[in-house]
Amino acid sequence: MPYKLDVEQMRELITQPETGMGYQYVEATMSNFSSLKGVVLNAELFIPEEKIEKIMGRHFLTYSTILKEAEQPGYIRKLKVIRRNSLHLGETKYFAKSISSPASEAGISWTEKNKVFKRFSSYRNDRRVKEDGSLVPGAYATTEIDARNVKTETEATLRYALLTDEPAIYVFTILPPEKTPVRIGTVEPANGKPGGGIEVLFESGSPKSTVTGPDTIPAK
Amino acid sequence: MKLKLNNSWTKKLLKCPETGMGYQRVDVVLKSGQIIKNIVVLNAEDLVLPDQYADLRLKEVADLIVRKK
Repeated sequence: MPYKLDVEQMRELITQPETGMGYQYVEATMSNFSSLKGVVLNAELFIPEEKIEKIMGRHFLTYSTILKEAEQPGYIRKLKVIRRNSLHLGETKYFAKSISSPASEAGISWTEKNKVFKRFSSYRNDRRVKEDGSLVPGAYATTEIDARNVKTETEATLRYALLTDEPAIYVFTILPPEKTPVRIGTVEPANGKPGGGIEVLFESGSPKSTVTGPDTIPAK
Repeated sequence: MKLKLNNSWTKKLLKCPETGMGYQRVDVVLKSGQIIKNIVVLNAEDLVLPDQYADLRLKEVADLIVRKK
């Protein structure tokens, strides 16, 4: 059985380096004081090593399904990140599944200081961007780094599976305060577009004077 | 066809999360009781309806229910 981490444990793991993209090897002290080695996916889900193959080896099992089946937080007392050579779990076989769930199904994470995000829009008067330069809760954006893959509106529409009838040529820049809660995931194929870009859901929005623009990009 | 929503509908939609960057998917509940499912709203203000609803007027809309992603 996989176990969800509590908010404090997630926060602690986020400050520590990953073992590989999207996962960390850990040793967990459980509520009955037993000790289990295993892997934490996306800083939110602990899978003991003896369950890895059973859980991750199942065909057609999405990360969101594993998350839904997981025990609620409270079963783990303490987590310690351990060295890569402490475990051999076949991560290239299994863990790649963990890095592609949509933002709406991802756990909460917190923005780092000076981290910049971009929002593509067909509307200069984007309703999710308020006049005071704040972002309305529930709005999507992408990371500034991911947005570098996009040079034209056409590319943005494909990468972020945008649904537009006007070209999404407007680009807003968001510089939220440190520790703003967000959910980060991968854009799923939708609306006849492949997706694949990073999507960031601003769960609580972003405060005033943190959104600037829009700049414009060419349509094609 | 697009049906422009008024401010009160826009305010309601802005209280709900987006489905994707710049849009929401909603079920449109009409005062007749009919429900038009899975309709896109752009920028919390433009309801994008199939052509068969070209004659629909805003006053016929009873509710907009944002669908879970």
